[in-house]
This record gives sequence, structure tokens and C-alpha cells, in this order.
Amino acid sequence: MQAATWLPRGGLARVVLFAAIAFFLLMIWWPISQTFWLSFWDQRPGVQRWVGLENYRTLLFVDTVFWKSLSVTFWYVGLTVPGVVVFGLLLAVALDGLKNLTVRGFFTSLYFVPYIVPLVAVALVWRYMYLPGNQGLFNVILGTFDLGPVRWLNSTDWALPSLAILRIWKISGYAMVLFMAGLQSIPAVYYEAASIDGANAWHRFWRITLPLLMPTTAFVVVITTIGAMLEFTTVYVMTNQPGAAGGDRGGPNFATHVMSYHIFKTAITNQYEGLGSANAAIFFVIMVVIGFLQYRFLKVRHDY
Amino acid sequence: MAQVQATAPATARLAHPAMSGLARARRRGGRIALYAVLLLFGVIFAFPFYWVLSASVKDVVEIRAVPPTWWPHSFSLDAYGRVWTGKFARYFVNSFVYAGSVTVIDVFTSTLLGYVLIKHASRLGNVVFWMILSATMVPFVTYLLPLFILLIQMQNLLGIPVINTYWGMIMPWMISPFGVFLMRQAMYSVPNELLDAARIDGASDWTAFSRIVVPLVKQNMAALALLIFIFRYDDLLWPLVVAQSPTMYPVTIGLVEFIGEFFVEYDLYTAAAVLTILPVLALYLILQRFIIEGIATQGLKG
Repeated sequence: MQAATWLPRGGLARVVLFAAIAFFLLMIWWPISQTFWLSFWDQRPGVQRWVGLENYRTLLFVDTVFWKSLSVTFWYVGLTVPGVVVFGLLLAVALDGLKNLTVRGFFTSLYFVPYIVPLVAVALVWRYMYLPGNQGLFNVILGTFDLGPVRWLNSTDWALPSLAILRIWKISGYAMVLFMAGLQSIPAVYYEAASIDGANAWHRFWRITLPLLMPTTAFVVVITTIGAMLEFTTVYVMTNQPGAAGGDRGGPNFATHVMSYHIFKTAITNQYEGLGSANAAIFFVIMVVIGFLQYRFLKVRHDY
Repeated sequence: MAQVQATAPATARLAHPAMSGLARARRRGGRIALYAVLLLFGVIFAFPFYWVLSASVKDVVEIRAVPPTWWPHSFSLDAYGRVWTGKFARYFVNSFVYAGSVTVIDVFTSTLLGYVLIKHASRLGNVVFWMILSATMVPFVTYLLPLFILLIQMQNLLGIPVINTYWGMIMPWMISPFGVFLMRQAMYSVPNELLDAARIDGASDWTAFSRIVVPLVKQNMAALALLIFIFRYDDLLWPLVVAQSPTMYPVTIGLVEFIGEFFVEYDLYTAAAVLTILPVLALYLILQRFIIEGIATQGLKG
């Protein structure tokens, strides 16, 4: 888009643009710069002194929880994203095979419900279903197959997968809707040509659908990766341990200690503002790198 | 605009003429398998809702049963009463004020900005669009603390309360990149000729916007409003920082506080969860097509 003049014509347009600039500077860019500025200070209740890169040194070489949080976050991405892509694609392809549009609309709406309902409430419901012993729904279901009981949220092995399963359940419908839009954009001629050449449904899926859906898939991967990297709510609602001061979360034994929660706990709950800001600054850089990927895929999709 | 529920694939039509009996039987088998998969997933997606609803109406004795009963043998709305007469009525008011105000403000600013960016294109507008685009990459949690400090400074400087007020909760969301994207896209459907005609007739920019543009993009505004409301209603992180007294808590914090240290009072939790889900579910059931199409066309919210 090439615009000739610097300022738009008309007072209203100018006021709107300047107001928007003021808003974004004040509410996003100024605070972000402050995150970096604070990261050079040792700032906590009763202490405020310049320490240069000391906070970063602490994080990278001393604080084991930082690395643990980072690895938990990436594990979480690894557990959720493939599931969301596979189920989203499966559902989209299955719905695309339905000829009856009313039935298709019904199932589309049904599969989309989890995405739209408030996560805080859903996390509470799932915590109830994840109850240990034979109290929880999941263990009852496993019990009918002579499996379990699993200690789900109370076990270091299962806590993170438990949150991941919830997220896959919640987000798959969203991926499905994106994949359905992608499927619609594949020209029917390709399928017709392939059918005439004798390709069966299986071949058509692997040779036509999947390759032509690559832009959509890439977009879904990036957007669900970002969403999973920022997970906070389920950890906050589902993992508070009895007896820990202030309801400490992210357990058991840091098994669900994701980055967003780590930053929140350090900077807000414990008021280690300098250290928390250094942490946030590192996370910011990681997310911007992923964000650039998102932008490239957006460009493909929307032709900005 | 992507049409989610548009044409059926051509393959299905093509297979029909001159099909052998065997092929027809295989097709029927495929059809049954397809419906089986769809129904299975339907159950998986819907069951948690059944489970919480049924748990919420069980009486205090039955809800403690091990293993739990598959359907309620008792019926009691006791838990709902106790949840509602607790602090939850207030939490709901807070949530609706918070999410509702953000929705109204954000839809307004998004539409206005979308209009200015497209119909009054300028280099400054491009700069603003780049600012907005790059803002989508910045996770909220990375500037949460400085934003909070900024609000405290504003409060001290201006002498008006900001922390622990609706105003403070609403402020960071008055313009959203997501909304601007959506409405900017919608502006392409507004014909320039209409705006030119209005200008020739001597209409001011504001009149053109409110009388011509807004009616034409009303549907997009409605879709945006729904999405913004639903996402703000579900917000936990920001209220945790700004809303500091229970009288200001939205339902999200209300639910968390409700659990407290021990996860034991299942009847109350499930009733509270049902109440929290209900408004959003109702909105969705009434206006689902808007929502799904809004997501499919823009797909920007992770």
C-alpha cells in the first residue's frame, strides 16, 4: 500500500491516528522498555540498586527454576501442538466428507464449543474429572479397562500431560475451523483429475489435501505454539498445592511450572521485580522470534 | 471471506454413476465409520459439560460417592443457591462491567481505526498499522509488571484511583490489534463511491463514518463484539494484578479464590463453573455462525 502524503486528510483521521499512537506507546511500548530497564536493577521490597547484567547471570547460570520453567514450557508445546494439529485436521476432513450441510453445521458448532467456553471454568471442571483415586471420572473410565488409577495432577509424570490433554480438547475445534477454511480453498478440479486417474481416498488425502493444506497447517502450528507458550490459566487454576504458602502453584515439584507462571510468581507474587523483569525480557525475545514466524504466515494468508 | 459451510467436495458427486455393488457397500461402510468417528468426538467434546452439570445438581451426599454416579440419583439446587448468595452475584456484575465496557470501547476504536487506515490512507497510518502489527507479537505477561507500575504512577500523579477500579482494568484493552485487523479488513467492502458522494454533499467525516460506514460493517462489528466479550470475560491474569479487593473480582478470580487451599467442595465448584459457563454458552448458541466465521476469516487469537 503506497500512500502519497504523511498525514491523512481531515481532522478526525489525524486525531484518531495520534490517539492510537499515544495509546500504543503508553500501554505497550513504554512498559516493554521498562521491562528491559528494570531487568538491570536489583529491585525488591526494601532494595533498589543497579546491578547491570547480574540478573541475567543469575537466571542463566544460577537459577535452576528458570531452566526448568523453560523446558516445561517447550515440553508443553511439544505435547499439545501435534495433538491439536492431528485432531483438528482429522475433524476437518471428516466434516468435509459430510454432504448434508445441516449435519455438518451441527457437528462444527458442537466441536467448537470447548474453544469458546471460559478456560477458568473449564479448568475447574477438568480438575474435578482428574481427581485421584476412584473419585475422578478419568480414573473410573480407566478402571473399566482395568487400568489406573492414575494420580494425574498429583504426579510429576502426569501433571503436565494432564494440562496438555485439556488444552488439546479445548483448542482442536479452533484448529478444525481453520483447516475447514483451508480445505474449502483447494480447487475441486484436483480431486476430479486424481479420481479419473484412479487415485483412492487415501492417496488423494496424502498427495493432494495434505500438501495443499501446508500454509494452513503452518499457520495452525505457529498460532497454537504461541498459545501454548503463554499458558497460565490452567496452571493457576489446577495446580495449587495445599499447605504451600499463598497457594504455590506449578507443582508437583515444578512439573507444571510454565514460563508465564514463573514470571508472574517472581515479579508479582514475590515482588522480585528486577529478576522477574530479566526473566520477562528473555521470554520476550523468544516470543518475538516465534512472532516473526507468525507474521510471515499471516502475510501468506492475508496478503498484507 | 472464507465460507465454512459452503460447497461439498466434488469427489462425492463424481463417484455416483455406474457404481458396482461392491463399491456401494464399501461406500456405505465408509459412511458408517465416518458417522461413528463424528459421534465419538461429539461425545468426547460434550461429556465434560454433562459431567459438570450432573455433578452440580447432586446432593451433598451423592457428590462424595466413590466411584461417582454416572447420572444424578438425587436432585438439589442447593449448591447454586449457596454460590449465588455468596459473593458470586457481585463477581458477575464485575465481569460484565469489565468485559462489557472493553467490548463497547474496543469495537468503537477498532472500527474507527479501520476506517481511518483504509479510507484515509497515509504514511502515518501505515506507521500506526506497523505499530499494531508488531504489538501482536508482544505477550502481555512480559510487560505486565511495568504496566502495573505505570498505573500506580498515573494514580499518584493525577490523584484519581486507578488500581482496583474498573477503569484500571479496562485501560490496557481500549484498542486491540485483533479488533483493528478485523475491522480494517471489513473496510474493503465499503465502496469509496458512497463516501465520495457523501463528501460532495457536504457531510463531515464523522457523519460519513457514523451514517454510512457503521451500517455497512455492522455485522463485522457484532462478530468482533462477541469475540472480545468472550475473551475478556475469561481473563484471569490482568484482574489478578489490578483487582485487589474481593468487591472488584471478576468471576475468573472468584472461581480461583473459591477453590482456596483445598479442592474439596465439589458441589459448590461445579455449580459455580456451570454459572460461569452459562452466559458464554448462551451467547454462542444464539450467535454461533458469527463467531465461527469471525475466527475462520481472521484466525488471529491463539
